[in-house]
Amino acid sequence: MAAVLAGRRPVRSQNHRTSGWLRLGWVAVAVTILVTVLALPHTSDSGILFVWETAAVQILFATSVNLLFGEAGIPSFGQAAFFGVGAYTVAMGVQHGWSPPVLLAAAIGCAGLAAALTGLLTWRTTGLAFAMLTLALAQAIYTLVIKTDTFGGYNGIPSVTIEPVAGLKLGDPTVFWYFMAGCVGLGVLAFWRISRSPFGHTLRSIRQDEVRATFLGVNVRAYRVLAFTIAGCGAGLAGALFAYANQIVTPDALYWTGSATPIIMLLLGGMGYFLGPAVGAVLFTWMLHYLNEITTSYLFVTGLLLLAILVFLPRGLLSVPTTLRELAARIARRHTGRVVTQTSAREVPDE
Amino acid sequence: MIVLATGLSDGMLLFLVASGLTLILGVMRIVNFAHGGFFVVGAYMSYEFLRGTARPAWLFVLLIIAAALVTAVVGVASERVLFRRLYGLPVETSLLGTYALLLILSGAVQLVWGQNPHTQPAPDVLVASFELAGATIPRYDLLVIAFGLLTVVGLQLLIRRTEWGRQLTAVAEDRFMAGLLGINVNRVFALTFGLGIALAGLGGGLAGPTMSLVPDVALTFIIQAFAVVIIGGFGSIAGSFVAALVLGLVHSFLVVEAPWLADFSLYLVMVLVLIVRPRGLLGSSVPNGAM
Amino acid sequence: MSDDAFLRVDGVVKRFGGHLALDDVSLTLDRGQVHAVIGPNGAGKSTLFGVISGEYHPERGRVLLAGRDMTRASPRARVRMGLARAFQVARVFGDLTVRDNITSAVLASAGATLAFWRGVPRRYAPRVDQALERVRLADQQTKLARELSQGDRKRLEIGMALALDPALLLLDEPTAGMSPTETEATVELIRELWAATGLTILLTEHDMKVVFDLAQQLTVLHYGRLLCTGDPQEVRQRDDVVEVYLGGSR
Repeated sequence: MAAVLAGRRPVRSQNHRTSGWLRLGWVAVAVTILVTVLALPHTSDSGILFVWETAAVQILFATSVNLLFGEAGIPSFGQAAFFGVGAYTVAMGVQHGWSPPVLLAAAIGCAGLAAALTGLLTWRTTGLAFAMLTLALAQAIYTLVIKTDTFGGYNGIPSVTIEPVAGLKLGDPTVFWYFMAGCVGLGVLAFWRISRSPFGHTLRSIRQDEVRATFLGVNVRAYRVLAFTIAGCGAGLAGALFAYANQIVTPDALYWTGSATPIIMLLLGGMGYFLGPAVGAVLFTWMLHYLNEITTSYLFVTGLLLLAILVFLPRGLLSVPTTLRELAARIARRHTGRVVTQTSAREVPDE
Repeated sequence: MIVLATGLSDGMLLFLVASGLTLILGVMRIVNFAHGGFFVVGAYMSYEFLRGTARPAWLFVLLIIAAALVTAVVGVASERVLFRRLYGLPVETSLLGTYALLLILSGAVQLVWGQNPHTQPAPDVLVASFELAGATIPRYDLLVIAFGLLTVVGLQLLIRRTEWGRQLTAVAEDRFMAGLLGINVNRVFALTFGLGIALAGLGGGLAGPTMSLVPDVALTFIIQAFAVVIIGGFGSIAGSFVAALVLGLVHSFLVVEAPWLADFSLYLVMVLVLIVRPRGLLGSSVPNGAM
Repeated sequence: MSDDAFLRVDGVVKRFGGHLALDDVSLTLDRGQVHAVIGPNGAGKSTLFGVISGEYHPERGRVLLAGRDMTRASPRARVRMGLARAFQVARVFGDLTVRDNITSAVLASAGATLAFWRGVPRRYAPRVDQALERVRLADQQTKLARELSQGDRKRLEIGMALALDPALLLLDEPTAGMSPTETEATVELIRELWAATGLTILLTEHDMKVVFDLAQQLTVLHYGRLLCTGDPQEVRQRDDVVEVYLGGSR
């Protein structure tokens, strides 16, 4: 019971394993990730490592977007703008010789501020209207950047190099990879914490029924704006790391189609699962990498893929085991002709 | 005067695209990202029909209308195959479905016509300008303005005066009740969608001579159309008309007076309207959360 | 009118378009009282609840909670003043577990919902347990709320309202859609809650047996107007009430 309250049990988890097994599973996942992260720079060339860096950035970005889509039910289509604000903050700061810790903090701050402003402007809207508004406002930020000479216009800002910190040569590919993985890890952990916090709990209830939440005394709109701001901070950090990894920042970083990418990723992985966006980010990044090698029209293929996920896998890859179990249970039920029991009742989609 | 003419003509083009978008939004409660895709398909279809050369004015008009109809057929087909599955789904899913279609459409255009820019000249008669009140006005602008006016009048007549318009209004109000009253909701949806897409295709065909054609136009144009719908009020055709004209005029005025501001005009107007009137200029009293 | 009144509704008028939903309705509720608002369909009961809980703002008249004018206050401000409500069709968080539903209410009541840097503190567990016990849902706490039966869902909503530790509880048709057994259990539950906590309860109800079982005071509404107020015996004997309401259901 206390475990439920402490939030150790995933809200959407529909399995009935004991918490001991569950914990063992999490440990196994953590160890695998750690070993992969440590081994990568020693086993891959710089090209491959760059793809992994991109994937790491997208893991953080998609995880931040999941706070909006997966937890709070806020359909924002403008997150690329905050990603871009983070990236440009770093690019501008590097020109002034600022150190990475300061710049990362500044990127988080600026992106959060931009998100807070957007959130306040869209204060009164929800649903489809909100989605369109965030999209348009994000595009306004894009226009601002391409029209301003300080930001390098269409060409962007080149030579974004990373300064050493406390004797650590962050410019070295291996060291940079560890630095980046550490930052992404911390960021993802922060979002895990938020998801399990009273705030995260409240967001999930707002998503379910905002009238009920209002009459419990919750200031629904303020919580939406706060969630939007936090997600913006996450996108900003992802954008900042992206700037360092890429070493050049162009307006493409905040073009609106970039807002859809993390959404596709978390859909691919599974929206209700905390690790869904991460899984989706890794798979999708690698897929794009290979697609770019074989075809020039990745737009077309991405569109088809997205459609396929929506139609065949609406709950994402991580839902496959559950779906299979449900299927098995349904088949078993049909054969034995049993009455629906309490456990299996949960497996009948309530639509 | 020239400011007025280009402003109106730009505004009419925006309106053609936005009217279809807002029609589909109002009746079907779907934000159609793919609208920009259909716009581009319409533009390239026209290019294909006209073979990229200058034609007599009557043939030009005829062929872009034909291209718009072909685009509408593609639209109705996609409604049958894809959009049917999206009604009543959560916002994010239905948005992503139409977004997928946008990618597929502009990707397909890219595959068929390539990434290189194409140019479609206007008919010879319309290339010339004429003098009015001391200003030179491109004749092509007049054609665009005429199409825009015909569309807004036609749509209003269609919605207010015909049986089909009544059915459409009923479905927009409450599709469940409309179904109970014996209206074939699926047919209304298909026709609405076809009409909206035809308008997008027509917009594309008309826009052809005013820009250089690249597949990416789909991605930029849809955002502008979104802004028009937001400013005009969700689902309001008259609102879109006013908003598109205001945007066109503000833009062409700023190009002359304050060029550095011109590209922001869209967003400036949008933010202003949002602060003063969150529902849009002619938005209904329905809270937009309900959509 | 006693000074002990926790809730006072004063000459409230509420219009929806041309329809006059509430026409000069007044009501006084003493602390610790169970008060029922009755009347045929369309009498304005749900509108009255909406005006009291902050869903609607009336055109005229005032709503006072514990002596303070709350006519224009937000629902949130009223919750902080000790008002909690349950809806006619139970509103619960369907995809959360029963326990998490109650936890949401406890967190909201403790003002602890904003913390995003720490886990859900364990010190709230006893309050959650207590609310679950009170509405007898402890054995179903790991179910998702949407898997509950209609009656259990309404009890869960009452549990959420109770977790707010309210001074005044608004129940909009607490037994609507319930089987006779469920209705009986719910009446028993409300009576128990009232006896245990001494909170003030305002309810609307169609089922006259429930009303006469629970309420100490009745207010009868008819087409948005106040017909009369009094204890059950008085009201039962009034001819006009029998005519518009009781007569209709007989």
